Parts: sequence; C-alpha cells; structure tokens
Amino acid sequence: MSFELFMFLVTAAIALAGGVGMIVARNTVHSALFLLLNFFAIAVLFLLLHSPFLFAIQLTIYAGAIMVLFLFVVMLLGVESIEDRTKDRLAGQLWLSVVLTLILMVQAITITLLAEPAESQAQNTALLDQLADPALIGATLFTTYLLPFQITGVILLVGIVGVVVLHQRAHLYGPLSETEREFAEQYAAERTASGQPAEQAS
Amino acid sequence: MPPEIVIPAIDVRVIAPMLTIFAWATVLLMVDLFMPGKDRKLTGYLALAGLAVTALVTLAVQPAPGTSRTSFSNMVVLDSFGTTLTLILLLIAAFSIAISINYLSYHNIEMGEYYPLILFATGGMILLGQSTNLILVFLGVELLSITLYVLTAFFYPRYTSEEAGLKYLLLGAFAAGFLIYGIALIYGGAGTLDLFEIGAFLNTSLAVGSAFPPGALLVLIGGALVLIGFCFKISLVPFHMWTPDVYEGSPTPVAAFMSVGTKGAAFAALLRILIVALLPFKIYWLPVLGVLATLTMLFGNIAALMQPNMKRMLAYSSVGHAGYITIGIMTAGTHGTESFLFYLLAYALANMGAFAVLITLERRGEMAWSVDDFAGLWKRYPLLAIAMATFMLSLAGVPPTAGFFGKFFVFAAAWEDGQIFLVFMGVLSSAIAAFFYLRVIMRMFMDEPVREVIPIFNRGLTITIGIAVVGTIVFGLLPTPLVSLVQNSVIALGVGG
Amino acid sequence: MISAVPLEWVLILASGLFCVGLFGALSRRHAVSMLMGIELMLNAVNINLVAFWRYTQPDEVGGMIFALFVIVVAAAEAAVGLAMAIAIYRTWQTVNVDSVDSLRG
Repeated sequence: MSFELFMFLVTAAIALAGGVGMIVARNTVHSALFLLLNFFAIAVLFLLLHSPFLFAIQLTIYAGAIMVLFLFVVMLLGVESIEDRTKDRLAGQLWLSVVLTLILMVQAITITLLAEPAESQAQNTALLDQLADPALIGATLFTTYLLPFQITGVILLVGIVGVVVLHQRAHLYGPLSETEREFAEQYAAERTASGQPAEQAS
Repeated sequence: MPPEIVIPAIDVRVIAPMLTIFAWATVLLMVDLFMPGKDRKLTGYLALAGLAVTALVTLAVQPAPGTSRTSFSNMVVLDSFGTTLTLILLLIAAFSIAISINYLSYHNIEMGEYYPLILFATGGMILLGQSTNLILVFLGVELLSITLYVLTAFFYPRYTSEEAGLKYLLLGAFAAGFLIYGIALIYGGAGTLDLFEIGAFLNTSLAVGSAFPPGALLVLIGGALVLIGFCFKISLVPFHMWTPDVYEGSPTPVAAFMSVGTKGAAFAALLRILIVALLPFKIYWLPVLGVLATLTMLFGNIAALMQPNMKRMLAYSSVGHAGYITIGIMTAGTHGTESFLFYLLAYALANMGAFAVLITLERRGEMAWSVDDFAGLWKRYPLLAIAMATFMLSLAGVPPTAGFFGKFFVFAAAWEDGQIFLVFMGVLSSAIAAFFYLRVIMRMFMDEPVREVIPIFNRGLTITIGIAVVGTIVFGLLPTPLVSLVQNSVIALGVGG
Repeated sequence: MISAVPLEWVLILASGLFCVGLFGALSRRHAVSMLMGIELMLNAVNINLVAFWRYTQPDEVGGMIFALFVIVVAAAEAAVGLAMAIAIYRTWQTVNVDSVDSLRG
C-alpha cells in the first residue's frame, strides 16, 4: 500500500466519521464541531488531489468563516433551544429518510462503479503543479471565467442586503406586539382545528 | 512571475440587459439610502424606470432575426429567444413592482431594499434565460433563489412570512445540492460545462458504436439529478410541497412574481439545456417529463379544487400550469420554444391580474383570502368582477382569451409530436380545472355578499389589472402578431451564426 | 494520489458524504442542523468536481473554478439562512421546523 493510498483511506475515514458524527450527536455544538472535523478532512483531501489553493480556501472560508458563523448562531440562540428533543416523535419520517438515503447511496455507488468517466488524459506533473498556482487561478478567473466571477459578486451583494433586511426590520418596526403574536397563534390553532386537509408540510 | 492577464475580446451587447438591470439596482440601493422619511414610493417608481430602460436596452441590442451572439468564452448567448423572454420577464417584474408600491405602505412593511431585490431577482432570471454554461445556470438559479428567500420573509409582523421564507430556503438549498451534484456528474462524463460542447460530445460518443459509452451514462444520470433540482424550482409534482405554503406566507406581490417569473426563467433554462445539450437523450427524458407533467396537471388541479383559500388555490393552479408548460417543453426541438413563450405570456397576464385582484381585497393584518370575499362582487364592483372573470376564464383556457390559445398551441405541438396520451390528459385536467375557476365566477355573479369587503384601488393596481385584461382579450382575439413574434424567437443551437 | 488511488474510490467517498449530508438534512428538525446537512452535501459535490477535474481534465481549471463558486454561493446561502433562523427565533422563540408550522391546508 502506497503512502498516498494510506493517506486517502485515513482521510476518507475521518471525513465519513465527521459526517456521521454530525448526524448522531444530539448536542448541536457537538454536531457543528463534527462538521468542522469533516471540513478539515475534506481540505486534506483537496491537498491530496494536488489543489493547495482549494485547501487554503476550504480552511479559511468553510472551516474558518462558515463554521464560526454556525457556532456563533448556535451559541446565540442557546444550545438548549436547538437540542434535538423531538426526534422520537418523528420516527416515521426518520425511517423514510433512512430508506431514501440508503437507496440513493446504493445507486450512487453502482453508478460510480459502472460508469467510467471521460478518458483519462496523460498526466503531466509539471502542468499539474503549474495549474495549482494561485496566480494562474486568479488570471483564469479574470479572463475565461470573468462573467461568473462578477455574478458571484452580485450574489454576495444580494446576500449582504438580504441579511441586513432580515435583521433591520425588527429595529424599524419594533418587536412583535402581544396582539400580533396572539393573533398568529390563534390563527394557527383555528386552521388546525377547522380540519382542513393537513398535508405533510416540509 | 505572475502570468500576464490578457482579457479576451468581450461583446458587452450580449450581457447589456442584465448589466443595465444590475447596475440600476446597485445604484438604486444607494440612492434609497439618501431618501428622506419613511415613504419609499419614489424608489418603486425609480425601479419601474429601470425596468423601462432595460427594456429599451434589450430592444436596442437585439440580434438580427436568425442570428445570435455569444461572448465571455461562450458562456452567454443573446438570441431572439433570450430577447423575447427578457421582455416578458421585464413585464412581469414591472407588474410586480406596480402592485407592490401601495401594498407595502398599506401593510406597513415599506423598506427601500424591496425594489432593488426585485430588480436583482429579475437580473438573475434574465441570466438564466441566456446562459449556455452550467456554471452560469447554477449561479443564476442561486441569485434568483437567495433574493426570493429574503423577499418571501419580507412581511415582518406576519408569522407565516418568516416561516415560508425558512421553508423555501431549506428546500431551495436542498434542491441546489441535487442541481450541482448533477452538474458535477455531467462535468465528469462530458469533460465540459459548456452546453454546446456537451451536445457535441453526446452526438459523437453516441454515434460511435452500439454500446452505451460510460461518459454518456454519467451525463444521463447527471441530467436526471439536474432535472430533479429544477423540478423543485418549477414545482412539478412530487416536488411541489413547498409551493402553497410559500405562496400563502409571502407578501402577495412576491407570490405573484414567483408564480410566473421564477417558473418562466427556470423553464427557459431547462428548455435550453434540453435542446442544446441533451437532445440526443430525448428518448430518455421524454417519458420522464411526460409522467411528471401528467402527475402535475392532475394533482395540481385536483388539489386546487378543494381549496377555500384563494391564495392557496392560485398556488395549486400555478402547479397545474407548470404541468402544461412542461408539455410545451417536451416538444423541444420542434415547437417547444414557441408554445412555451406563448403560454408563458398568456399565463403571466392572467395570473398577475388575478393576484392583483386578490391584493385589492386584502385587508390589513388579515391572513384569510377566502373565496367568500368574492361572493356578490358583481353587484357592488362590476368592473372588478369582470376583470377577475376574464383572468379565471383565461387560466381555465376558455376562448376568446389568450389562455385558450396558450393551451391550444401546447396541445397542438404535443399532438404533432405524437404525444396523444398527454394531450388527452391535458384536456381532462383542464376540464377539472374549469370547475374551480368557474366556481369563483359563479360566486361573484350569482351569490349574495357574505361579508362587507371594500376593495382598495390605486394607480398601480388599476393599471396592472387594466393592462392584463386588455392583453388577455386582445391576444385571445388577435393572436397572430404574438404568434409571429414567438415563432421568430429561436434558440441558438451553435456558437455564433 | 492520482496514480495510487482509483477515481472510483474518491467518487464513492463523495457520494457517501453526499448521502450522509442528505440524511442529516432530512432527519434533523432544526433549521440550523438542516443547514449543516446541506453544507455537507455541497462539500461532497466539491470533492466530486475536483476529483473529476484532476483525473480527467487536468489541462484546464473548469472543475476547480466551479468548486470555488460553489463555496462562495454556499457561504452566501448559509449567511442568509442563519439570519433567517435568528429572525425566526426572535418571533417564534424556537427554530424547530415542526413547531414553525402554521401554514397548512
């Protein structure tokens, strides 16, 4: 067994363990930390795939920014508010998702085993290293992929505006008044009581 | 040593419409900051002006008939199909803003960011209609979706609005996962993300021998996953569960915007993918889409039949209409483009109009859009009742409305393609649909008022309803100009030309 | 690694992670946990993209660039999703998707 194969197997095991741990953990903070582990493993995988630039991006953006954001929100809302207490009530849905996931997984594995991708091209190590060069990636972003790159900027702008809008309303209009809250609860109760065909939402 | 950056020649005309609308939205966002007071109507009018300017730009750069332009490494194309679709989308956005301007202040949810967000979403739709690269398709879907998540949750003091926003976001992000998984598999199989090159790859690899080449198999599976991702966006049964909830919870103009705009853009992108890239796989996607269309038409219309809530009824009806549009898409390669565009315009006019009528009857702080409110409308507000009746007839597909010709072209194209069973199911489900559309009309004209409802009128609503009524009837009586317009709107099948 | 590990193995790992994320998104009932599952799905796809690029298309960077775009979009989506979770928590005092369920019928 070569060193690279060994590294791949170890990384893959850690990545899968992180993913499974995220699902199994009942505490949301633990869940987020398992996901962080998974992101680290994927970053190492990128390194094994000769993409040091993605390795750095994965660490800074995913493991750094996004996961910190998740942890921050979990802490802000209070861990106990997010703890999974309703899991048992939803046994039916849980089993459905187990079955669906298993089916998809079997499918995915057969697909990947059966289907050979496009012909592998001759590997040129020098070219590979050159392609992983961040300067070249930047140059490609600004030439071939100029338009998607700019659109990404628009998406980020929309994201910023969206977050501001979602947050600012409460300051503009103040918190929900007691009457509004009561009205909404009453409304929800009425809808349930009136026996309208209640489809399985979400 | 850093590599030398040589920016390739760029044809700005290709992206001129979306460039205009993005630039206008960004500037509007900043202009809005300097507006005094809480009144944001001026921002709305400026947004309308932006749409008008974009429409002029679109007309100015439209390619000569039968030609197309590509640029940005062939990632976007400007063809006559894209131009027509852009104009329809701009009309939809203009309707949405016109019915929003007073709605926002009446319900005390006025925020200047609303209008730039609508413009950004429209830009995303235009991008979807023009992109010929799967990267851009993905980015367009995401731009559109992220904007709509926020707009859905815009109705602040209303509980259901935030709930709808969250549901939409979770399902949308979930669907995006399938979409990019599919795109990744297509990339692995074909080795490219360019729609033209994928089409060329499939043509050559399928022509080689009788055996099914492995790369093509990956593309086929990836295509199926992409289709699932799109099904969520265009709410085909069984991926439609979110639709009624999200429409009911979101502000009514946003629901109107989503019901036609999102569908139109997503269908256009799907149509382009099917025609340009996956046409060699027609034998595979044709039956799948056929089953989806049948299920969607039947289920959407039957569910709408049982709805006492007008907003949910319109949501289910929009699910049903997605089924008819799917039939139009299935004739991709023959008459798919024209029946799709005609149907989209007819449906947009009738549906925006129906939502506008719904807004006139919407009370502050109330969350019921009961059919009862329409009872006896004829006796008190005859013009409003006639307008609503026109929209219902058009949605049901009764002549002499534009909706009739929309359905007619879709069914005729499917018939010519030999999809006789689908035409039969389409007619059957239209008959079911006629029940609940006619029920609204019956209640308006026959019944006594159940409770006192005073409609609110304002300029934006009146103009929208007026244009929608006139358009629905005129295109129903004289469809010829529209038919020649959509027949000249052709999807570019290759680079340049 | 390209010579030592067959492409299929990497793809199987990616599909496995995708399914784990899918299961997480389906089985958890909390907005934040569901978002975490979705993030995992997107990451799995990124492995797919990079692997396909490395193994089959090494002389152009399309796959990797797409992975970059996916990361950016995932970040924007996560930000909006979390902002919405906080907004919902302020009004409903819970982020449980089953409690946040008044729209029915």
